[in-house]
Amino acid sequence: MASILLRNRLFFGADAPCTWADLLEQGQAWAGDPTGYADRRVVFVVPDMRHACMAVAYGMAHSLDWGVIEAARLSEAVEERFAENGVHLIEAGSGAVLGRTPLPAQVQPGRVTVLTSGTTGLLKLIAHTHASLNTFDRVTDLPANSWFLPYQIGSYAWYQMVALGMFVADQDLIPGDFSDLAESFKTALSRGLVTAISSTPTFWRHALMSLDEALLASADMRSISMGGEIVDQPILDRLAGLYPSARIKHIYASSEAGAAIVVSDGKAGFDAALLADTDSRTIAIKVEDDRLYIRSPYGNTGDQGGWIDTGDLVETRAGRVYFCGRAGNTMINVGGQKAFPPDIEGHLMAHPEVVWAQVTARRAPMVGNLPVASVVLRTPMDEADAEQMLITHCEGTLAEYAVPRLWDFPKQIPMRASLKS
Amino acid sequence: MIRSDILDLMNMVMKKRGREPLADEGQSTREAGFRSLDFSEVALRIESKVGRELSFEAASMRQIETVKDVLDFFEEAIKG
Amino acid sequence: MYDTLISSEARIGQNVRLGACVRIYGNVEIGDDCQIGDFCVIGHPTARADSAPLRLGADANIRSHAVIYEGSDIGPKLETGHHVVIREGSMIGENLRLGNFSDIEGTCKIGDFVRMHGYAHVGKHSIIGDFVWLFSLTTLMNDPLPPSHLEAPVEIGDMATVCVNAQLMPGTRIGRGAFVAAGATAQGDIPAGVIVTGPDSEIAGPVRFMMHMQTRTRHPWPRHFTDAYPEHVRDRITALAADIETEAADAAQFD
Repeated sequence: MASILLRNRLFFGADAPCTWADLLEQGQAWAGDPTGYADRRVVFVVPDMRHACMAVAYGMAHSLDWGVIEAARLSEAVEERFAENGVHLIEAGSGAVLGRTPLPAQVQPGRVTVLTSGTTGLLKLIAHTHASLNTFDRVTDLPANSWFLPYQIGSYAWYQMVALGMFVADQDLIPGDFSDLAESFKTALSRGLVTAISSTPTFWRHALMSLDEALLASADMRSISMGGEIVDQPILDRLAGLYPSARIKHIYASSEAGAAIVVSDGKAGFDAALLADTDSRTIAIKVEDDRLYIRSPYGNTGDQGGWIDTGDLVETRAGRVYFCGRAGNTMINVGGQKAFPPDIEGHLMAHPEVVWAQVTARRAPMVGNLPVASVVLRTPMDEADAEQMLITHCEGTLAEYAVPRLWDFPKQIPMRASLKS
Repeated sequence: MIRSDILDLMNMVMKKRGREPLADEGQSTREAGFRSLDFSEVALRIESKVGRELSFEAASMRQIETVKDVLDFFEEAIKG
Repeated sequence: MYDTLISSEARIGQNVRLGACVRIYGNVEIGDDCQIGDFCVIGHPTARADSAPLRLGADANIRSHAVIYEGSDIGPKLETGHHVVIREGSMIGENLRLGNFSDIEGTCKIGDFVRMHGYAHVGKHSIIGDFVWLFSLTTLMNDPLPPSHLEAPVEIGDMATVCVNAQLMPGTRIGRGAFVAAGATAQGDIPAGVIVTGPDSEIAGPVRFMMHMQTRTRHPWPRHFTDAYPEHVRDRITALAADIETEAADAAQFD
């Protein structure tokens, strides 16, 4: 049973450090007597990160059936979503109930309502428990760290990091301000606090573009984990150059299988030897028809034998398994030939002038589809020159049909709430 | 867009790929190295220029053999 | 029937002697020259499938009926009495000695040369420095509002002494070289080098004034008890003791 380590610390913005004990005390004063929430499924509506953490401590300490959402994310559609799931939206400071009266729901003390916005953008509610969020509990020898927390309040990744800060000894949190991530990251770096970050490749590309390299390099970074997107070699190399003494890991997680592959050798993809390892105590993986399947002791679905189709396409080259994207929506059929955007993106991002690239399909006559690229450059340059430079970079390495045909050059890397692009 | 604009676009695509410009309309696309991928790219670029999606007739696409055929085809498509 | 059960996956060093009915699970690395008594369970599995192994340093002497879980890292020369339990995820230094029925809950950090007498209970996440003594029946609590989801583990500084039946309340921090008297209930932050007595965590004065009244013998700790330790750590004890005396003098102005 996971418990809140009251002495672990948090650093909000430029404020003095506080402990979970402080936050619980503040949460108590803010949300008041918990009795009124005990017979309801509640989600606390909070104005900012500090109140979100207060709500977490409060909800957990009182074994409520609880969750948390930022006030800024509320809309009629979102409120409707909660109401149909039997959730009372509570503005904790005033105790006011927001939205319409929810449908009746069974109360499950200790349930945590985690929010995800799927690719459809529609908010989904996922039930977790304190224990299921405590994924770092498996790591027994985690050295002391201060984690910059870049994720959006209420998301699965956010809860995982908050759980790390609450449940694991010597793990401090530096919660970022999601409304201005770059600025809050800058503040945290300037305070000399950050020693560890779990985030996405897109987060890093943003940081590398918008923050001063000397400031970034000044951090005593010891642990970097990336996940949520395909992690390419150039970003791994860039971070290894910036933080030579950091342990850099990338994590492939399948929530359906409740399992993850953690890679820490500094290379993209993972060692194909893992495919042969079928120890019954750990997860097993296999590739069939270029698709990755996982069998895990934690999984609760799957076909006979417990194999779960991850829907991720992989390719094995020279003893290494590389991710090629999601089945169904990433392969581009160019006149009968298959082009894989992640491969093309990876190659583009290996160019020193490219900080980010995204390749998509555009319907075209004659060949059905053409790959088109959206590229953010390190330094601005003439677009026709940039296009020529990148075509030359692709030719000879990528197949002709895989070389993007139309290009656009946005100034900023787009970043979604999940910190993915 | 007039015929010479279309030819300019075709030559721009050829140039980016490091190929010789198209000499005359009678030249075969195969010999000039103007391929289906290039054709498709030119189509998309024309769409961006005229600001709307063009409707292409599959049957007439199959009959394309020369540079002239390409130009005729796009001219027809732009007229809609 | 009287036999041992050893997983073929366990890595066991040279010259390891096992008693009867010992069970050794697979996720275990045992150093050389260890002695494991009858009915011990070594590397007891935890609920999780990907636990770190139990690493047991060389030269351990584990007496009968001990249960040691996987996922802990234990330094050389562990010595236990009978019926001890060490739960998962603990980092333990050199030459820990545990009395009969001692109970170390999970994810603790324990320094070098720590001594615990019988029935000591060390709550989850406790942190114990080097050369600490916990006498019989001491309890290190960690839940400030039991039962709850809150946890405030105890921290004990180097060379502190906790006497028989002392109760350390959740979140107590015992300063280095401090002395918790028999039956005392300690709570809050206890400065270095002081004596704590009674049910209200009263600070009764500096340890260096403490004396056995009948014999007029000064408390030997921390300077004059070095012969209780192996020769190779005596310099370390002397240096640490001097350091603690300075800290204690700075912290509390009892003179």
